[in-house]
Parts: sequence; structure tokens; C-alpha cells
Amino acid sequence: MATNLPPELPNDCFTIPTQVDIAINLFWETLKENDNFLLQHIKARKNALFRGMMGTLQNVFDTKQPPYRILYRRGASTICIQLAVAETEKQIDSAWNWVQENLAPKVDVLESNLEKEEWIATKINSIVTRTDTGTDEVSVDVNVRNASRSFRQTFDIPSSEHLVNYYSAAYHTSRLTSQGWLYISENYVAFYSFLLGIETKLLVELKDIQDIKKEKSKRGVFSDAIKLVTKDKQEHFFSNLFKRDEVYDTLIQLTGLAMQRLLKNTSMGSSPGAEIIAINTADDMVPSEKEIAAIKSLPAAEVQKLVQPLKMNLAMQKQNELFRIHFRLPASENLNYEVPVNYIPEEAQKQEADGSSSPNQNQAAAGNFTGKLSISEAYLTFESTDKLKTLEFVLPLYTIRRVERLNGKGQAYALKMVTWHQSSHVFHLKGQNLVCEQFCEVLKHNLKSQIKFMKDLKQFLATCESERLLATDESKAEADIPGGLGLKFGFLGDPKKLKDRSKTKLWKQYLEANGRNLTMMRAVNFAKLIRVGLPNRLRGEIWEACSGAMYLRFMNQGQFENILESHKDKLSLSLEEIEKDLNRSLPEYAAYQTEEGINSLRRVLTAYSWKDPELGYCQAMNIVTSAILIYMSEEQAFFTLSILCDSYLPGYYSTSMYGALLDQLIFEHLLETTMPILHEHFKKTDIQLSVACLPWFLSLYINSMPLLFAFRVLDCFFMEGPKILFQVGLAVLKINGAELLKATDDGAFMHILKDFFASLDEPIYPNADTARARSLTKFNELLLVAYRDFNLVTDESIRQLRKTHQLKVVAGIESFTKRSAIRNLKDTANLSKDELGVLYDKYYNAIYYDEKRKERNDAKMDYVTYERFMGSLADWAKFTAKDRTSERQVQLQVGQTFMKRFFEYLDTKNVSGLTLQDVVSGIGRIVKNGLMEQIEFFFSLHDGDKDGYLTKEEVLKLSETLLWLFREKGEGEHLTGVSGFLKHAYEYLEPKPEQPDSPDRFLSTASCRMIILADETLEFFFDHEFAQSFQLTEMPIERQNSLSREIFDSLFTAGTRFATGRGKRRGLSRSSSKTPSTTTLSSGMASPTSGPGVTDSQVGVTETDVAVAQAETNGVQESPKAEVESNIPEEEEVDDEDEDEEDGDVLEEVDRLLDEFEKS
Amino acid sequence: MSANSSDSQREATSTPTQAASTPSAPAKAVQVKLVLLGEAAVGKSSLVIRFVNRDFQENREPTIGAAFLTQKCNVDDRSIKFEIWDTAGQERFHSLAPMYYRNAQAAVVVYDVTKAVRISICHCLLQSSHLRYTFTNRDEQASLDKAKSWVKELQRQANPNIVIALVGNKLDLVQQAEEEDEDAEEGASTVRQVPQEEAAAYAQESGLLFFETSARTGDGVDQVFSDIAKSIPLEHILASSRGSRQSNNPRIDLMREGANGLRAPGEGSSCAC
Repeated sequence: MATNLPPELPNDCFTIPTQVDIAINLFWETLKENDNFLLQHIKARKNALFRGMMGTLQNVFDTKQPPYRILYRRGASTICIQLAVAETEKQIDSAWNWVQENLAPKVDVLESNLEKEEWIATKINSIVTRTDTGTDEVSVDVNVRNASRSFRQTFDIPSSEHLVNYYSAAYHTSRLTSQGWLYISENYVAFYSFLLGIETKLLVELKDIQDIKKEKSKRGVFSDAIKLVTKDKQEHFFSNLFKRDEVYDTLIQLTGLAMQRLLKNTSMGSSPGAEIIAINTADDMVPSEKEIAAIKSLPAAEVQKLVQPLKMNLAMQKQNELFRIHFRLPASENLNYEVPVNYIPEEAQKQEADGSSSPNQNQAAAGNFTGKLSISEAYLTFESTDKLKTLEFVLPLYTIRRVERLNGKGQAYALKMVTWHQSSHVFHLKGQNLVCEQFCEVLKHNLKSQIKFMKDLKQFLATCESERLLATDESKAEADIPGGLGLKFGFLGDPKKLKDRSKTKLWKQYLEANGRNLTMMRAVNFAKLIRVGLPNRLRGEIWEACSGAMYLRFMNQGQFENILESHKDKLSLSLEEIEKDLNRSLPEYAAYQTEEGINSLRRVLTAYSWKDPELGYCQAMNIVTSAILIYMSEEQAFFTLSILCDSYLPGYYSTSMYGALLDQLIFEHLLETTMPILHEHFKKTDIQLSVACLPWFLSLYINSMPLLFAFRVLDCFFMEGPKILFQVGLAVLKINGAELLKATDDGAFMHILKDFFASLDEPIYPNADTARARSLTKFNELLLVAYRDFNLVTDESIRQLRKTHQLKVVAGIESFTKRSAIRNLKDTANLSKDELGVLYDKYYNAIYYDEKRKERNDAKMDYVTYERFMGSLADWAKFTAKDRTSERQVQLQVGQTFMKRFFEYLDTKNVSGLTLQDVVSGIGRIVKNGLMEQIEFFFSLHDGDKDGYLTKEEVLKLSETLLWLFREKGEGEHLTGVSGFLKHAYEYLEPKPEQPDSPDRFLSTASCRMIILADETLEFFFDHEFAQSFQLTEMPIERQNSLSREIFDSLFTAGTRFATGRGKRRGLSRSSSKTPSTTTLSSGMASPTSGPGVTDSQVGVTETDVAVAQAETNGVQESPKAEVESNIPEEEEVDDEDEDEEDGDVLEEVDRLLDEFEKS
Repeated sequence: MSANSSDSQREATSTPTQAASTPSAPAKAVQVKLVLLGEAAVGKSSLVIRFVNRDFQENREPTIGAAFLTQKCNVDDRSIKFEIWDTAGQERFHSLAPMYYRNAQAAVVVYDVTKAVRISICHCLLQSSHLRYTFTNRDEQASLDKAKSWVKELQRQANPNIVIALVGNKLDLVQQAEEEDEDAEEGASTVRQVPQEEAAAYAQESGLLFFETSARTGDGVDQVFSDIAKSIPLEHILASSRGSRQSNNPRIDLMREGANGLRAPGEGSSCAC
């Protein structure tokens, strides 16, 4: 069906067929009609009330109706079906013609109305889905579809942008509160309201948001408001949000994603861990025109990212994330299903079997746990819901040998699972039958897919210390289990004093009762056993099991060795950095004075740097790794390091170290909430917490505390998660609180803390009566205070705080990166700081939206992104929808050729990628070019063989380029200039002096120059216009407006001026100070409606005035005026006397513009 | 090994009298904040430890964040108490540096005299075990280049009266090579990669104090600090120490302002790039 569509099928006009009733729609006038179809236009033109009402209605239903529409009339009734809408008459006409040609004849053939309607609906639907593949237009939810459409139309957003959700909300400016719609999409948050003539429009890029706060709305009564703060310190206040928390969570989640992307950009594309390869200057790296075309023609869906964070997706992502984090599961796991259960551990099963005939009584037996059983791809997890009886465990599906359904005990769904170690677990599923049935299905399916991994178990378990510890036969107990360096070089501290033996015994009992390694449970006394310190030989394995590194290791067996093997002879910056620090990692420990120890450390750090080249290697990783290697094998340490970098301490060791900075911010926040006096003191004395605390977090206290104690902290850290770092830190400050309050500078502050850490092994009660009391050290006190006084700090709260504070950190890092990037430019091309700043912003803004960068990860800007960048820099480089229409097809090609040549000009290293330096040097030169140099520049861009002569074709190309550059300038002198140029250039064609007899004729630089200088328009273009076309000053982003829109805007301006001149004083004077040269009405008005953020309050202002003005001219004194005026402070009503004279002129102007409007 | 040895190494204010200083200390010492900057593993920490503890340790743990030490120094009739911030050298710690150099009156920018300036490939063969690396030494890694960029940053963003000293460390390696290869003609030149003249000329041109030192032997180390002590405009510090510390220099907050809140007093408000 699609194939026979004529090529001129108008894009973006057709809508999913929706029903409308023309009987109640008095605002439409019918322009064209025939038997079945109507073409209508909105009436409200001169009447502000009408327009206002119209907009209000539309706004209430969240359907911004374009002024033209095509309807299909259902027989004689007033019920119609809307088929197409358009902003301009031209567009709607082409749609109308298409309908007349393609639909009308066939409709006539069909007999019944029902048939007709069905056929039309199918036809239009197929067109819409065809043109809008991959957008929200094909969303199943009709509301989302409509909202998405009005969102994109209102804000001129590309159709690839997905709307996540939209909410009814009120937006507050200093003078107005407007009720409207808040849209949240992948990259933007937007607000639109058009109420009784007042339009409020706001568009904020998510990446520009610096803070999101929950607020109470104005009167402080309702918790239904949110405040957004952007990086340029603009504040936006929304209230009346019925689903405030949902909005908040969505925004936090989306901005979080944006921040991750931003951080990737601010790392300036450097991948310190990436292999160093000689720079390839091969010519074939420049993409051919064909390749570029191929890239561009990719269907939108394919270019788009894999994850489409629509609302449902987002909720799912969040749920999965929580699930993974809670059970420390690998990133590949997703929550598939969950069901409430009763868990009966092995012991209780025995009791049950031992003779009671009534299982129901046993249900309540002490040994049972009620809880939730969840299943992911490869893991089964249980968590008790009873607060008093806690139990948590993970059963990897690959450790389950047998599952049987227990029958005949009055329980429909009782499952018994037997693990590799022959321990059996019984679950009574408590949900509805259907739920249980489905759970069993999922379980069956996932078990099947995991069964193949069971064969790896034996080999894996041979590396587990617990297996040796619990082994019953001699040979296994003696087996050589790969472990940490401590096995050979000795563990720290006196084993006797540490009670290593009795601890080991306790753990043996625990593991026998509660499962070991992969299936180890977290029973009641688990935490206690860990808090007293782990026995040396088991330490590594418990760390691994607690942190989830063990699952990772099981699922990636061999990865460590493979990485090392495959990168054997390769080099990277990180390797060099690692090499510097190998001899400087716990140098006191015996192993690190030998080759053996050093090599272990090198292998782990090197392998990690290859695994995550973007992170590479960060100092402090050497300290952490050298510490854990005492207790862990290299492979164990490698995966533990992965868990640390990816989930425990995200961003700590990245090139921007944003994670570490973020946690410092949170630490300070926690200090403020828990110990406000101390916090105030630090603030007053200008003491910076981070100078002391940053190293604590970065090296997990390993080089702040005596090592023995640091390992105790690590024990808790791996069990409980990152919150321990905060708790211990806060406890340190609390214990030293009195001393710290005396400190008045950083120096004293550092000393107190250093002394404290050095004294951790001192007894707190040296003179106590009992030996036990005397043996308590300051470290015991520290842990006690950490757990007791700061138990409100939970992993969940830390995670939340990380999410809410990360925006600020990223903003900070960004501005730091920006300053240092600009400072480090080797050549600033004589551009000012501000100009460089603008170039920097535009460069990285373009790169930010480059989807493919995610995979490519290099610092350079490719051609496609460059087009976007140029579009943001110069108007002529913007490819608009108009440029893509068929009538401009030839011009488009010319433009693209020019753009490509320009790209090659900037790409001095010929690597088909632009660095910031390339852009700065290239653009800087052009902007500063004088008249002659500019002519030279254009000449050489078109001089294919660079011989200083243009062939006849090249001359033609040059003039085509000029025409393309002038395409928005109308048909005036620019056109004349170019045609004059072409004419004269052909006259001046001459043979090259060295080949006087050749028949070929060329244009020399000199003649070209002469011809251009002879034409005033061209001279002006080369002298100023082109250089000035690059916008290197901060300006609100220009937005493309449709013609009618501009005229309407002009009307507003005129009205504003008419309205007692107050626009001059406020709205206009402000807007004109931002946009230079507001000589013509239309250009002056283009800016307030265009820019997001900055100018929006002005939009509100000017248009308020307009409504008043129009209401006055029309003699309408009713509601809109009253409504509007109530919002305007009285002082604004004062008239200026000398405005009266002007009023006449302005009235005329209004008339003229109205005429124009009508004509268009 | 029980405690962290580096902790005890960083004991501050340990030796009150110094070789370079006159024993008769005036009553009240002026506090001078000094920051050490430079590429990783050029010997910043070793330099400070040599100055503060008269000690040298072969393999020091890399500094994470920064270490803090103090040392008194008496020169002429002045008594100065240096508060020394010894910063981490790895590039990614760079963004933290403003936190440490804010309000600093002196800075020591250290480079390694044995690190190439613009030699494209430096063979650094480590035949330890089976691993063998050859490193490509790129321009921006050269420690003098890094030092220059630090100087640039300090001059733009730190206290405008800051006294900056450029210090080429690891001189002992050069001297050792010279002794060993006395006969060999080019012996020394292969070890020394940064000619003294070049660095000195750069220092001269940028208005820096210049030294070459060896933290291992202690050569020239005290000289660095005593010369800084002499060059510090004490009157200025005394006059402004109370006032400027609190009022003029706004508290910079690494997180909120992203370390960019630092503005030298008197400088314009635009971003100081």
C-alpha cells in the first residue's frame, strides 16, 4: 500500500484518526469541503477572548490544536474524524490534495458508511505508523500519543525524543502562576500553559539541571511542589503536582542518566587504560559521502539507544536495580518473579519429619520464616519479612541439584530444593494459585537454562577455603587452595591475640548450619560474627561472598587470565601509572618487597585497567588492592575490585573521581544533620572536611588507620556496603568532637585526626577492674559509636543521597573541566574567554547528543555531530525541515558539500574527527579573517586541486554555495550579487599563464577578488557578514518559528508597545538588551518566544500585556482582562503621557500586520 | 609490620632546628601555607619528608588526596612556620588541587630531571618476571611540561602574591650516572633529560625561584625552603592574614562550586581560565 503513495505525501500532517464533534466546535470555519471531507481553519483571529478561550480549552485537554485540520465527515452527523492537522495553509493544502487524489475516489466507491470509515482509518493509520516508526506516535496509549505530539510541536522537539510522562502542574514565576502541563521526556523537562491568552512555555534540558528539591507549595501547606535549579542558577517552581513523588523520582532517575552521559563527556574522551596505538593518518578514515548518507538514512529506531527509558521501563529498571543491589547480584540479573513463601530450613524439616502428623501446627514452629522468594535469570533469593526473625540468602540456580514438589501435606505448592552440598530447602508458596503456577514456570525455565553451569561448580569450589575447612576427608582438608599472599608471607597481627582459632571454629559451625560460599545465608548471628573480625584464612572468601564478587567470579571463570593473556604485549598510559606505584603499595608488608608480591599486584591492577579502560588506574586502587591481596587470590581480588569500582564505590576511581567527590558532599551533609554544632564550627573556621576525609574514603581507611583495624573496617564494609565508610567517619568526628571544636585551621584539624588514628589500639579503660574491660580499645569504641549513634545511615539512604547530590557534583566537575580545557588550549586563535566558553559549550553540547559516542568513546566529533554543532553556531548551517523538502533538494546537496569541505578544513589532522582545539583554531581564524582572507578561504575551499585557479565547474560550485548560504535572505540583492558574480566570473575566465595555449579557462584568485569587491553585497558578506554569522556570544537558543507564528508574535509586540508603553520599560527593554539590533518587529520578537529558560518569564510578561491590549482594542472588558490584571502589580498601570502620540502609529502597524496575517 | 608506617613518617614539627636556619628563633613564627604540586612520582613527598624529618624512604606510598606537615624555619631575623600541603600527583587528582592551593602563600612545583621533555619514545624496560614493557612517552607526560601547566594555573588562579619555586628533583640519579660514566662521553646526558639551563631559563622568564635537588641525598632541599622563606612578603601576610583569610578569600567549596569558586582577591568575577 505504501509503495503507491505519491512522493509528495506531506510529512507530519496525518494524525492517528480521532473523533471530533463539529457541532460544539464553533471556533472553526470551513475553508474547503466536499462530500466526505472538510478542511477547516481556526476562526479566532482578531478576538483575543476567542483565542484565549480556544487555547484554554485546548490546554485543559492537553491538545494543542494546529490552526488547520482535515476531517472526514461521517454521513450527515456532526461527528467527524480528524485525519490531518497542519500549522500552515500550504501544508494542509498538500495534504488536502493528497486526500482528494488518493482517498476521495475510493471512498466514493465504497458503499456503507462503516466500510468507508474503516477503510480510511486503516489507510491513515498505516501512513502515521510508517512515518513515525520509533516515536511515541505509535505508542499504545492514546493519551501519551496526544501529549507527545503536542509536546513536540510546542517545543519543536525532534520526533526521536520519547516522552516519559506528563503531569498536570502549576508553574510559578515571580508574578504569575499558570496551570498547565509538565512534560518529562528523555532529555527535557518542559512546561506549557496557554490559559486565557497567557502563554507560558518553558523548556529545560535535563543535563542542565543542578538540583531538584521537594518543596511545599506557596502557602507551605501542601507537599506538592518541586523546585528545579539549573546550572545557570535559574530556579523553576512547580506545584499542584498530584503525583509529586513520582515526578521527583522520575526526574532524579532521568537526570542521573544524563549525568552519567555528561561525565563520560567531561572525561574528555580520555581512556587512560586504552591501548596506545600509533595515530592513524590514513586517508581512508574520512567517511565518504556515501557512508555519511548511509549513517543518516539509518532508520531512527536503529540509531536510537537500546534502552528506551519510557515510564514503564524506568520503573522496571529501578526495581531491578534495587533487587540487584540488595542481594549483590551481577548486573545481568533482573527480577523475573516473586512470590510470598514460608521457608522451612533443614532443621525444621527434620523436626517435621520426626513425627508430627499435623503439619499445620508445625507451620508456626520456631524454625520457619515467612518471607518473599524472588527469582532472577540465575538466582533465587529469599528475604524474611518478619522483622524479628531475619534471614536472607541467595541460592544460585546452578547450585540446585534437585527440585521436587511435595504433595499431600495440605499445601498445594510446596517446593523442596536440594543444593550441591545436599542441604535441602523447603518453600511453601503462599500466593494465589495462578501466581504460584507462574512462579513455578519461571523457575523451571530458568533452572533449565542454568543447568549447564553446574558442571563448573566442582572446579570453582576447589578454590574456596570454606570447602577445605568443612571437608570431611583428609585429602580435601589438606588441599592447596589458592589464597592470599598472607598464606606465604604471614598475616598481620598476633593470631593468638586475635583469637583466630576460636573464630575459625565458630565460622565452621556457622557454615555447617547455614550453607557455605555460593549458598551462604545471612542468618541472625552472621553480622555479629563479622563485626568481631574475620579469621585470617576465611577472610578473603567471606569478603567475596558478602560483596557478590563470588557470583561474578563464578559466572566469569577464566576471564582474569584471558584478559591478561590477550593484552600481553600491549601498552597503555594506565600501565605506566601502575608501574610507578607498584613499589609503593604497602611497602612495609613483606610480600611487597619481593617480586612475587609485586607481580601479583601488577597482574590484578593491569587486568582491571584492561577490563575498564575508561577508568584505567587510579592511585589508591593500588593500596586497596595490595591490602585485599593479602587475603585473596589474584582472581578473587580482581573481581572484588570490579565490584568495588562498579557498585560499592561508583565513580570513586574514575578520571573525574566524581564518586569520591559526591560522597564527600554526602558526608558533609550527614555531618550537618547529625552534628550541626561541629558542622557550624568547621564552616566558621573555614576548615574543609575533605582535606582529611577524602583519603579515608578513597583508600577505605587502609592508609589512615593501623592496618589491622583497617581490615576490621573492611570486614564490615564488605558485609554492609558503603554506608560503613560514612558511619566510621562520623564516629571519628564525634569521638574527637570536643577537640575538634578547638581547632581553628586545617592544620590543627589534621593533627587531631592523625593522633586519634595512631592511638586506636590504646585501651579506653586502662584502669578498669575486669580484664575484658581493660582489653577494649579505642577502635572498639569507634565501631560501637559508628553502629550505635549513626544507625540511621543506611545503604538505602546513601544510595538516595548519591542520586540527589550527584547533579551538583557533576556541575562542579563540568565547570572545572571546562576551565582547564580552555586553559590548556595550545592556540586560542585570539578569541576571548567568553567566546571560547561559547565554543566549548556548543562543542560539548553537540557531542552530548551524539548517540553513537557511547560505543565509540573517543574525544573527537564526527561529521554527523559536527553538522549539529555548526547548526547551533551559525544560522546558515542549520538544516531545517524546509531545507529537506523536495524543492530544495539540489540546494541541500550543495550545502552538504560545503559543510563537508568546511569539516575537512577544520579537520587539520585529517582523522575525520574534530577536537575542541581543531574547532577553536579553525573557527577562530575564520571569525577573525579580514575581507581578503575570507575570499581566499572560500576560494581555496572550492579549489579542488589547490592550484590557485578555479575551473568553470568550480566557479559554478562557488556561486551555488553562496546561494545556499543566502537561502534565507530572500530574493533581493544577495541573489543579484551572486548572479552578477557568476556572470562576471565567466567573463574573466582565462588560460593559466604557464599554459597560455591550453583551451581550458580558469578563474584566478585575483580576478575572483576583483569581481567580489565590485559588488557591495558580496563585499559586505566577505568583510563582515560571514564572520559575524558565527554566534560566539551567549544568547538564548534561536528556535525556528513558523511564518504565521512570527506574525502573531509581531502582533504581540505591537500590542505590547501599544499597551501604555510598559512593555518598553519591562518586557521589551529587557529582551532587546539581550538580542542586539531589534530594529524590525519580527526579529525583535523572535527571541523572547524562542529561548528556553531565560526568556520565558518575559514571554509571560509581554503576552499578558498583549491580552490586555487586545481586550481593550476590542472593547471586551470581560473575564480575561480582569483575570490578567489581577496578576499585575499596580505600579505597572501608570501611563506615560508621551505614549499617546505613538499609539496612533502602533495601531496602524497592528492593522498592517493583521492584513499580512490574513494574506498568509 | 603493625601500623601504617607512613603515618608515623608524616609526624610533623619534629625537628625544631634546621641546618639552613639560625638557631636563635624569634618569639613568634609567621605561618606560611605552602603547597607542593607536580606529576606523580617525581618526589614531592620525599622532598617534604627530607625537609621535615631529615629522612628518605625508597618506596613511599603514593599520596592520596594530600598529606599535611608542618616545619619551622628560621632565616635571617624571620621565623616562619611552614604548613605544607603535599598533594597527590596523578592527573585525575588535579581537580582537587584548588582545595589545597587556596590561600597558599608559597608553592613548590616539582618535576623530575630524569624525565624526558620532548623525547617521543622512552624505553623503560622492566624485566621483572615475564612482563616487559616499553612505554611511549607522550608530550603531556613529561614532568617539566606538567610543572609548567601547574605554574600557569597557579599564576592565574591562586593567590596573586604567591611565591612559586620550580624544583627539579632526583638530581642524585644524574650525579650517580656522571660518576659511573666519567669516561663515557655521553653518560650523564642519557640520564638527565631536562637540561638545567632550559628549566632555569623558563623559571627566569616566568619569575620563579629555581632549584635542583635530591631528596635522597638532601642536596639543595633546605635551600628551597629557606629561599622561599626569604622571598615571602611577610609584611603582606601579617597585614592580611587575619583579614583576608576569612573575608577576602571566599570559602571555596569543592562540591558546590566544583573547585572553581576560587578567585584571587582583586581579580575579576569572570571565570578564571
